[in-house]
Parts: sequence; structure tokens; C-alpha cells
Amino acid sequence: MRRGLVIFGKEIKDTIRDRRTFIMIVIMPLFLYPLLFSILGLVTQFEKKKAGETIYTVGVVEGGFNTGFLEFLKSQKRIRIEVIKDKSELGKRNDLKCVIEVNNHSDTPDVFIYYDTANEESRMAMKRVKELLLRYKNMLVISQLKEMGINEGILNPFRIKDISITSARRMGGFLLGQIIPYLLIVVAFSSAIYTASDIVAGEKERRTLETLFVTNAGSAEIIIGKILTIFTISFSASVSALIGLSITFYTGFSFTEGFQNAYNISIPLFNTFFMLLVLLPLLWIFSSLLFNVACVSRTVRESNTTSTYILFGVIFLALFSIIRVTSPDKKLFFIPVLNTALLQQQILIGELNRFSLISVLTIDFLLCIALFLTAMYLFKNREFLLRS
Amino acid sequence: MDKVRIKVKDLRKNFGKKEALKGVSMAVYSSEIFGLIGPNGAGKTTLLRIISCIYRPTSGKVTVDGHNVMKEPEMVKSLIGFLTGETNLYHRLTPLETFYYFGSLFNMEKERIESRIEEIVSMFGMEEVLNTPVGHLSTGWKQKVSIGRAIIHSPEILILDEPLTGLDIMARRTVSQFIKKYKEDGRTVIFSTHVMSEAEELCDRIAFINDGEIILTGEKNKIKKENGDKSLEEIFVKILGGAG
Repeated sequence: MRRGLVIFGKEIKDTIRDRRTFIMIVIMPLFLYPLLFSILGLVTQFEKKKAGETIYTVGVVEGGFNTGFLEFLKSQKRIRIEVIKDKSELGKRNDLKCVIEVNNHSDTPDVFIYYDTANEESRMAMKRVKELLLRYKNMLVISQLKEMGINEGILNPFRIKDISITSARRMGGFLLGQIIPYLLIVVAFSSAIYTASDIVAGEKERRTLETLFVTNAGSAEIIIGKILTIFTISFSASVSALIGLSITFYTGFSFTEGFQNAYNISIPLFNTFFMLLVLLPLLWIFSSLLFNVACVSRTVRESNTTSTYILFGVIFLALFSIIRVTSPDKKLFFIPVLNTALLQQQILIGELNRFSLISVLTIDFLLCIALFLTAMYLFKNREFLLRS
Repeated sequence: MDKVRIKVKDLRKNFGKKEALKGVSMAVYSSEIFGLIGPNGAGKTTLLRIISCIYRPTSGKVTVDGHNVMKEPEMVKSLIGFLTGETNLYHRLTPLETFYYFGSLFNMEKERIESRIEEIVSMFGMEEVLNTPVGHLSTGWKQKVSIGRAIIHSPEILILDEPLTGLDIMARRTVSQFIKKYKEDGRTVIFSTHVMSEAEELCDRIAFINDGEIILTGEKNKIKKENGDKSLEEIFVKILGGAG
């Protein structure tokens, strides 16, 4: 096994001297993803602020309404009312965000609000107008009740208040559980693709693999040395991503700022560490899988392409975990990749159970064995491995 | 007669349905340069890869200094050095790191690796490039590093698969001189080529291989004399023509 470690040491040295790998394991996860979330957060905040401050122009089709209705609308600060002749002006004028039309042909008049669903500003204006109309409707009811000498309290016989019993930790786990496991898994797989292709398919392409075969290093030692390298790169990228994402989420520089303020999100350090720990078997599976893909590929390009196809599958499985945060079906813990994401969610929420942990570890262990045996088979089949 | 170092007996190798070697038998002796000559696809690389323990034969027997390549591959590997003309190096490692790496993979102690590096450095005058990443070196230097890598464990037998292919004139000269020097030190060199002039220049004994079969083997000068001092190329063409 000493020679396996020699190979590992050389591969790590060789890999980290490659600028592209450094970018994949440090720059991308530590800076790029957090930067992405920060920009998303800033854009969300800017849009929210902008929506609150913007004064929308609302058209009211002439006729059908009384003077009080128009005066009420005109007295509102965040809308500008303009009386128009026809509702068709909505599609013709850019400044007009929605149109109100009153149909007064029955005892109960219909008030129509026309707006453009595909236009964010039009939807915002519609919401604002709807709120104002409800207020106006309440004002009318209250004034009529007063005229009839009835207390307005009849309108609210009781009040409804919803109180969440969720702890800050559980809430944090729930929110972060939707994002972190998915991101960690995608980062772990994608960051290892280049290294795996380079140190296996690349060696075939450069004809350096056969120089390894004529040394006293055995197949198992070569395989372990190389898989360990891929694993280390993948693990380093995962840790970088976790650090970067933690900084982003806990400093409030992300789109989760609103939740952060509302729920005071917190995840104990131990849970973060444990989440990383249960990721390790999956990282070994990824490393072995990518190693095998690189073994059957003739060139680095072929290996990268095949690995990218597999990445789509990994993304799909990890993405599925986002919609199954609470109470997932037990069967899902037998699906590789997804089971680790669900397990990480349980850890984040603080609801880890023995069944999920044992089933995930068993499945992962069996997969690790199967992939290692496949790698051994491929490495013993030198004619196939060195085919050109 | 010198000692037999490599003995190949009725060696066969199939790749699926294709027969790459069809019962090859030959012997290579100590202190000689043995040339394996034949066109591309004749089976030269397959034969050398079996001797080097990279491939396993379908049937037949190969021994290196009496050690069976199937049963004692570790022992055989410690006796041979392997190099091809197309072999590349790890471009981000320095020559020093390359030598340490391969020395460690041959189970050499640190002190032994260091003394061996000193010998190789002095052999090729390599001091100035020892700590330069291989990717920054010229083709000639790279070839010297490749040779150094192949002989770091002081192998008694050097197996060279098309060692001069793709090399520029200076790198070819380096390898040719090295092959001659290696033989002068009492060691054995077996090399394959499809370029007859290379064999004319370097070999003591040769074997013509075609379509997985040895069609002629013997001392180079004797073969030439028996064929009216014709060039190896003419002799090869004549034999093939005769066979056809």
C-alpha cells in the first residue's frame, strides 16, 4: 500500500500545480457560488425596494363609477389615476400598468381589473389596486353599518393569528436543507470530473500509464492512489463550497436575507460537520465512478463528455431532494445520491433517524465495493485499457 | 555463447478473434542489442509488452533471467527498464521529482534513489535542468529524462519500443548513444523498429517479425553476408516476396 500512497502524493502534487484544478476546487466553490447568491440577493432586494417605491399609472374607464370612488383612488399616494376612454389602451401604452372598469348594469356592480400577467410591473399594479379596492369596499360597508346604527365589530366576530412553533434551528435546517445538500453534491461531482479525466484518460493519451505498469506498483495500489486523489479534490471543493455558502448565508448577503431576519436561522457547527461526514461515502462513489469512466474512455475529451452526461443524472437526483425536504418516503433512502441529500436534510433539521443512516451507509458501502471491483477488472484488462 | 536473458517460447496472443502473435519463439542474450524489426502492426509492441509484464500471453512462455513473466512479474519488472519513443512525462513535475517518484515505485530506498540520481545526472550533464518542470524542457532534455526514468532502478535489460520514433535529430543522437553505451556496460537492450537503418546502425542480432510470426532471426552481419551484403530493407522485402 506504500506505493499507493506514493502515487497519491505524486498525483496531488501534479494536480494542484494545474491552475485549472485550483480554480475548480478553490475559486469556484469558495467565491463564485457565494458571489452568485450575493448578486441574486442584491437583485431581489433592489427589485423589492423598487416595487415599493414605484408609482404606477392606472387607467379608469370613464363612466360606470361614482365621484367618491374616483376621488378615493386619486387620493392614494403610490398610484396615479388617469381616466381613459377604452380599456384597449392598456395594450397600446407602455406607461399604463393596469385598467379598472366598472360595470354598473346590475344591483351589485362588477369591478374589472385588466392587467398583463407577463409583465411584473403590471402584476404589481394589479395587486396594489386590488388591495385599495378591498379597503374601499370595507369603508363603504362600515359607513353603511354606521348609518344603520350597527357596530362595525360585527364584521370581525373573531381574529385569526398563526403562530409557528418551529425553532430557529429547525427553520434554518428546513431552509438550508433545500439548498445546501443539492449544491454540495453538484459541486462534489463536477469538481472531480477534470481531475479524474486528467489522471486516468490523460495518462492513457500521453502514454504515461504504461510506464506505471512496468513499475512494481500493483493494480490495486494504482487504483487506490488515483481514486484517493480524485476523492481529495472532490472533498476539498465540497469544504470550500460549504465555507463559501456559510459565509454567504450567515452574513445575510444572499437572497435568504429575508428568512434570516424573520427566523434567525442557525445551524450548530456539529451538524455541519456531521453533514460533511455523511457526504464522504458518496464522494468515494463519485471518485470511483469517474475513475471507471476515465478508464473506459480513450481520451480526456471522451471522458469529460461522458462524465458530464452522468452529472446531469446526479443533478436530477439531487434536485429531487429539494421537493422532498420533510417526511420523505423510506424507499427514497435506497436511491444513491438522493439518499445522501435526504440524510443531510435530516441532519440539518435535527431529525436524523437510525433507519436512514444505516440504509444510506449500506447502499453506499455496497456501491463502493462494486465500483472498486469494476475498476480492478478494467485495470487487469490491459489490452482494453491501452487500446488506441 | 553469452547467457540467455530473455527466452520466448511458442508465444501466442489473441485480441478477441485477432491473432497478434502466432507462436513466437526467440532468445536474447546478455551484452547485446537485439533488434525486433517489422512493419507497423506486425506484433512488435505486443511482444515487448508481454515481456514487460504489461500484457498477459494467451499461451506460451516468457522468462527473463529465468523468471516467468506470469508467475514472478515483480521480479521481472525489477530487471527491466521500459521506454517508448512516444512515451511522455509528467509535465508539471521536475526531473528530480520524476526520478524520485519512479524510484519509490520500484521500492528503492531513499539513499539508493539519491545515489542513482547522481549517476544519471552526471551521465547526461543534467544539473541545470534538474529542478525545472519537464514541460519547460526541450525535446532532447525530455528524452534524457525519459531514459533516466527508465533506468532509475539500474535494470539489467532495457526494452525500447520504437525509441527513435518522432524524435528530432538531437534527441535521436542522445538515445542512440545511450543504447550503445548501455550495451558496452555489459547490459542487454532489446528494441523494436520499423526503420531498417536504425537496426543497421545499432543491432548485433535481429529478428524480422511479420503478421505475428518471426520469419528470420540471427546475427545481423551473418544475415547480411548470407544475402550478398544487401541492406536489411532489401533482405526483408526479399523474404516477404519469397514468402508471398
